[in-house]
Order: sequence, then structure tokens, then C-alpha cells
Amino acid sequence: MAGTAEPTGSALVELRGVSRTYGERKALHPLDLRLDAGRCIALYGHNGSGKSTLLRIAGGRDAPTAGRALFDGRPVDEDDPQVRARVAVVGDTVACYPDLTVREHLELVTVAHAVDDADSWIDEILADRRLADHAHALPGSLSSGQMQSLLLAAALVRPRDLLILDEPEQRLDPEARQRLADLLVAEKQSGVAVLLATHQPDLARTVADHMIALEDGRVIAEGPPAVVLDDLGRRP
Amino acid sequence: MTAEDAGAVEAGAVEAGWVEADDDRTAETLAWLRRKRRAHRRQQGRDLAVLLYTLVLAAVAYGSGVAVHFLRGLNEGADYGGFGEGLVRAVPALFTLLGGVLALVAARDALWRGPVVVPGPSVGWLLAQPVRRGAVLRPWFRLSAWLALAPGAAGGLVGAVALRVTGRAPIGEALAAALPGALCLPLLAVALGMAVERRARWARAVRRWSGPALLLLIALAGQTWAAGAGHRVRALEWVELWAGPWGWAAQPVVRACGGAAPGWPAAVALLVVATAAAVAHAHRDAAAVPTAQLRVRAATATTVASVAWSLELRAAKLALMEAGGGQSGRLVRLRPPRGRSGRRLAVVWRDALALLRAPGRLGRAALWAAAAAGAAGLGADLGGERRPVGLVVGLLCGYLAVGALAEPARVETDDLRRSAWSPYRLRTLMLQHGVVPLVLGVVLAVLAAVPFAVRGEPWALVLMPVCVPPFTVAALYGACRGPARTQLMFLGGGSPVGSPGPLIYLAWYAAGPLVSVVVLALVLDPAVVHPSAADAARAAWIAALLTTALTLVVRRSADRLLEH
Repeated sequence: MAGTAEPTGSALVELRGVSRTYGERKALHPLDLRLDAGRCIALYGHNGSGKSTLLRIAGGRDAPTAGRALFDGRPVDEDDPQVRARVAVVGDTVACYPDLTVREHLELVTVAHAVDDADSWIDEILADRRLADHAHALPGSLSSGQMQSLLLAAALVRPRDLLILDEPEQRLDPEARQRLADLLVAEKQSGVAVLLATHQPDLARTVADHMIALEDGRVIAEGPPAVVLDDLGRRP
Repeated sequence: MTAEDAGAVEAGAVEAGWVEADDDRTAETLAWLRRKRRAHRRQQGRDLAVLLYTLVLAAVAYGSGVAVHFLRGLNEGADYGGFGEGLVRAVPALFTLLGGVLALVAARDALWRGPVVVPGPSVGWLLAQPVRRGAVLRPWFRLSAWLALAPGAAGGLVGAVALRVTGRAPIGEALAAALPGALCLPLLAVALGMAVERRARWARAVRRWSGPALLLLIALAGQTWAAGAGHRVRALEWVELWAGPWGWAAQPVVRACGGAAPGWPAAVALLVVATAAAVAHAHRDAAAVPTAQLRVRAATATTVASVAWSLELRAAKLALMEAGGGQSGRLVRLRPPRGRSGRRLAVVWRDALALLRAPGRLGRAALWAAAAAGAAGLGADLGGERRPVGLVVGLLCGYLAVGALAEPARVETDDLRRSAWSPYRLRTLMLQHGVVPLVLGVVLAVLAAVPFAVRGEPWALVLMPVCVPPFTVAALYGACRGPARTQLMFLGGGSPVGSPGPLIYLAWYAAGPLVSVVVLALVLDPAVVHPSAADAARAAWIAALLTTALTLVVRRSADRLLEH
């Protein structure tokens, strides 16, 4: 099976025959995937279908049992500074520093990435993610939706070539979801590659150029989102 | 400019890739973090100081009586020299044993924690950025190494004092002899822990070989005891003295005690060089611990710390088990029971399957059963005051043997939703979980009693198995105990020796083994030497009564558990 988003020259993300096994359980059957700059692939499927496993491998957080995972032509490993400099991941909730405010968490990221004019940039991100009123709050006082916004803000406040998002729509209200879709479209337009796992057909349809539907670790359908969703809708 | 527009600008900033010489901002990032977290660090320092003060206060309060007794004994001319002979004879085996224990503890600890445990926020926020990992991780390794030196130095001091008061060496010479081992062995343990934390292959080996290593340590404990009693195996001791760091550390002590260790300077040199090499290698390794490992370890350490503070020891154990890696390889299958009787055997099938998939538990149970028989037999052989001590230790080991087999009962009560499948009430279900530990416990007890029967004590074949039913029900009670009643820690008010609250809590926590061991010890004490048919009948009768009483308690506890 081959997942692709408009192959043009060398791919930013390339998975070749990647599979993952945990003990006896095959979490991901062999698949290929190719993602270029400025494109978006959406992974779609039920819980346990293998979406998160695939994202972890693509982001270098997990090693495939077989096959190769490449980022810009080199093996992807989250411990590689090159990867951490260029790949932003919005995944599970991470532990925050209990004594640093929301704004200070973003400042930490900008210091590490040497972001110019960081103060005004952080202000804009906070406003855009509806966190401006909570800028000086400690993370412990945030709701789960606000925490999700903080994690997204941390990915946006830094430079990136690839944005990996694992069900980012979770815990967001409908308005925030719409803003998320707009934001991901803008990311693509700016040349960032987006790899997205989602349960939301609307989000995939709006943002993705290519969609891969997974079930029990296997690709069951792929292609343009409208086609895949239509195909899935016709299945019993 | 909207965030989307700004994202477009920013996204282009990394097109050229990241070059350490130009783009590394580790120093600035760490300095920024240190500055921002200064107040937090101060508060942490204050909390640590209070904790240390409390520990010192407790050590002084509870240890002063022992110290005064010891010093008064010295002042009044108590002769500890008699212990010295045995101590000196046991040094080679003792150091091998201590080295082995240290290595096993460090290696097992490194399966879930290890020398480099970075707090969760640092893994999530700091290590997710392109910072040099060595600058973040190595300070944690250095901290662990320094912390390991503290108990090492204390151990060395205690050893030197022991040599001094037993008249084997002047304190200065004893300290100098103990120092190389006291400083190097803990550092080597930290280096070993680093290797296990860093390399998945080492971690797998530790999981696989921990059981055999424990058996080896038990054998070494036996050798140490035998050597102390005068039964030495010189050739084996020579091998131990040269086989590794434990022996190299022992040689200056052997020499300080007047023993023969002509090569001790070479041994000390070997020890120092090996330690320096291992620590330098581990220091390099510290920067290469995968972030995925650090993420899991940070989460586990946080969970364990929080549940340990709330005295939920079971929750801590579960967190450690989860971090230790799940089932790997092929799962063993067992045909479920069918037909009318199948329903009644469902729990037995489930427990037997659990045991087949974790056969190490049966091995542990066998080990504890052997230790139980050994302790009780040794106590009976030694006689006098040591007889009841041996009996109590043996009974405790027996309880632990049965307890190791009762894990599925604890798994059941870890989350009561698991029992939703069952057509039985929880009280019935819990008692059914007693079948497998009861049957296997009786088998192990009979096997452990065989050597006594061969020696002419056939009633041991009855006395030992009759302890299994009360132990089984006591283990089930432990599973039904429910959430930690930490309020008990504050009961009882004050007394000249402190609050009895912690003891009350311990009594509640260990009520099952406490009651069963005490009652059985009282019953078995007169019968442990040359038991007769009447002794066996009396023990069986009382064990049956105790089992019935504990069963009623288990039923009530299970009902209460549902009310929580």
C-alpha cells in the first residue's frame, strides 16, 4: 500500500515498508507513506487502528519493527537535534512546569529556537489560541481544552518544517475546531508539511490532500479525502 | 499579522537545517530556565531540608537507645571479640554477597528509574527542543553518583567501627581498608544502572537473569553464614577475592584484619581503575538515554512518588510492574473449562492461566517455601531463643510463598470493574481466587516437608501444609483491604517514644499475615521439635478455626469494598 501526497522530488517524510509489532500484536502492517512540504496527509480510523503508532514512527518517537522511516532523507529519531529543530509534535498531554506560567512555557520554546521578536510573536499566538487571558496563569489552572491550546501554541511558536498532530480536535469546542482547520490550511500554504490523525471527517476534508483510512493496523482505503470518506460511507 | 501569516514567516526559518555550531542555544535555554525557576528551587531546597531534618530526628530518636546500649556495653568491657572471629572468616563471602546485592538492586532499579531520571516537564518541554542532551542529562547522572556515595560512606564507617569494636583493627586502619570498597562499589552500581537504563538489551538480560541471580545470592548468604561458623571453602574464597570488584574491595579489609591478602595493593588499583573507567563510560552514556525511555521513567517516578507518599504501596508496585515491560513473546494458552462445571471452574482457569503466563511467581513461591522450611528447621536445630525466631521467620516466608500465588486476587480488587463479568458476588469470587494458591501452596509445603520426613519427622508432612489455608485467606484479606487508611497514622496521641500511629497503620496494613503468623507460631512452637500425631491434630484443628474466622473477615471486607 502506498500513501502519498503529491510526490514531487525528494519527500520530507518517507516511510518504506514500515510495520510495528508489540509482542504478539501487530499494531501496524507494512505500509509506505510519502509526504512533501506544503502537503497534508490525514490518518483516519477508530481507536486502536494504528494512527498514533504511525505518527510516533513518523516523528521518531518509536522505531518500526520492520521498514525504514526517513525525514528529509535521513532516519528519523526524536533524539536527533535536526529532527527536534524541524519537527513540531502536538501529541498527548505533557507534564508542564508547575511554577512557570503559560507565557513562560512559550518563552522557553522561543529561547531554545532563537526566535526573533519573540515577545510580540508570543502575544499573537496567545491571542490566536484564545489564551491571552491566561498568559500569566499556571498550567494547573487550565482546562483540558486550554491545555490542548497551549500544546498547539507551543508547536506554532517555534520554526517547523513538519507538524505532527494526534487528534488535535479533541477537547476543542466547535469554534476552536474551525480555527484549527483554518490554521492547518495556513500551515500548508506556508510550506509546512502536516501529518494529522483525526476522528473528524470534516477536518480531514478541509485540510488534507490525501487521506489514509486504517483499521487494525491495515490500510483499508486511501486517496483524496472526499473519495475515501465516500468509500467508507458505502461500506456495511 | 495573524498567527497563520506569522506561521508562514516562521516556517521558513529552518529551511537550512540545524547546525550545532550556529544554532545551539542550550546554554541560553538552561540559563533562562534556571533564572525563572530560582524561587521554585529555593522552595524545593527548603522542603528537602525539612525532610532531612525529620529523618535525622527520627534516626536520633529511635537509634539513640541502641547507640547508648552499644556504647555502655563497650564502656563496661563487653567483649565483642567473639563476633570478630566469625566476621573475619566471612569477609570474602560477605563482600561478594554485598557486591551482588548492590548490583542486583541497582540493575532492578534501573529497569524503571536508573541514575538519570529527568522530571516530566523537562522531558516534555526542554528535551523536545534542539538542546544538547548531554547538558540536560549528565547533571542527573552526576547527582545520582554523589548520592550513591553517601550510603556507601556510611556503610564503610559502620564496617570500620565493627572491625574496631571486635578488636580486629584500629579505627584508622579499618577506615582506610573499608574506604576503597565503600566509595567504589556504589559508583560501580550507578554505572551498572546507567548501562541497564541506556541499553534495552541489558534491561532484557536483567529481567531474564534476576531470578537466577537471586538464587546465587541466597547461596552466597549460605556461604557467608557457613564461613562465619568456621566452614570455609578456601579455593572458592580465593576465586571470589580476584573475580571482580567485590573481591578487590574485600582484600584490604582481609589484610587489615590480619588475614592473608598479599596482592591487596594490586586489587585496590584494579578496583580504582575499573571504577574510573566504568564511571567515565557511564557519564558518556548518560547523554544517550532515549527520550522515549526518559518519558516513561519520568511518568513512573512521578506515580511511584505520589502513591508512596499516600502509602498506596500496591499502586506503587503496579506502576513499577507496568514500567518493567509487559508480556513479551508468545502467550501461553489454556483451554477454558466447558460444560456445566465450567462455570464453577472459570476463576480457577483464569488464575491457572495467569500463573502459566507468569511462571516466575511459582518460582518465587517455591523459593519462599524453601526459605520457610530452612528457617524453621534451622531455628529448631539451634534451639533456645532462636527456635521461636526461626519459626516466626519461617512462617512469614510461608505467608510470602502463598501470597506470591495470590496475585490474581489482588488484580481483581485493583479495579473492581474487572469483576463485572462474574455471575458471583465479589465475596464468592474472592474466595474462588483462593483455590489455586491453596492447592499449589499445599503441594509446595508437602515438598518442603519431605526433607524433615526423611530425617525422621513424618508429622512435618502435616504440620507444614496445615499452615497454607490460613495463609491463603490472609492473602485474600490483604487483597480486600481497600484504600490505604492513612488516618490511622495520626491515631493514638503522643507517648514518650513517639506516636503509635505508624504502628497502628502497619498493624492494619499487615493484619492478615500478622494474625495468621502469630496464631500459628503459638500453636506450632511446642511442636516444632519432634512433632507428634497429637501436635499435628491440634495444629490442624486451630488452623481450621483460624481459616474459618479469616474467611468471615474476607467476606465482610469484600462487601465493604463494594461500598467504597
